[in-house]
Amino acid sequence: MKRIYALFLRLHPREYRDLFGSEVLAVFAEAAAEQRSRGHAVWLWFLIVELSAAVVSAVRHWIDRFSARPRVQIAGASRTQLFGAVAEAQQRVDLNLKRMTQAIASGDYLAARKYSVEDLKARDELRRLRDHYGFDDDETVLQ
Amino acid sequence: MRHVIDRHDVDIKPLTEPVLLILLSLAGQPRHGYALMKDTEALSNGRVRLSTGTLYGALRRLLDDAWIERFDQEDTSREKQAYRLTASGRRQLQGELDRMKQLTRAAAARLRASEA
Repeated sequence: MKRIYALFLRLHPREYRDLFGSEVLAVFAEAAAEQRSRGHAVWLWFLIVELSAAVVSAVRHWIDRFSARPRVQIAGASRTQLFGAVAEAQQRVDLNLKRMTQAIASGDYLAARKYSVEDLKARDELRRLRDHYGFDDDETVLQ
Repeated sequence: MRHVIDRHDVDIKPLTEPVLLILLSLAGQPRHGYALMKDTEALSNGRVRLSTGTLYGALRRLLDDAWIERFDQEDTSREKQAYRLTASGRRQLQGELDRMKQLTRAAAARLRASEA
């Protein structure tokens, strides 16, 4: 059954699988062993709930992943949208830095590397927006 | 009556039940995934059983918000990654509990008034 759940896990974005994959499978296996000892009906219900929740989880993670991308087209953006876009880019940089620091502190170097790559992309995006609209590096952007 | 708003109150968001239960569980001690699943079930008197997908979806978002953090326990494998509450997570939990207390007081007052 762990192998079937692993197939459902593959529906999730790669970052999620890299970060949680082995843990999720271990927790599923532990919960499955416990539920199996409670009889066929409980076991069947457990499988239905777990597998459908895995599909819902995958959909939510993909939605989260896409909604985290910049939503404002720079060309023709109004000043309010522009400030929002720069503030969002700044937030992504701050969040990545926080995640990376946390991952390093907890010794999770795999996650730290992933956040480091995201950090580079987020900083590039922020620099592009700032350069394009002439923001100074020290200029604070408020939404 | 003067109403004072603490600066930290601005960031307090209402929590979903799974998130509230996870934060409550971690408020006692750090736990790994399966222990969290069992403890949240116990905290809700068996009413809420988080599926693995729901649990890790919530954990990912809590990590993103830096309300919890991962840390290594010496006696556990990578498959048993432990989680603990951060100062920010504790503040969010306290804020939610204050909100619930206030709501409970208001609800009790309404019920008393309608019974009188």
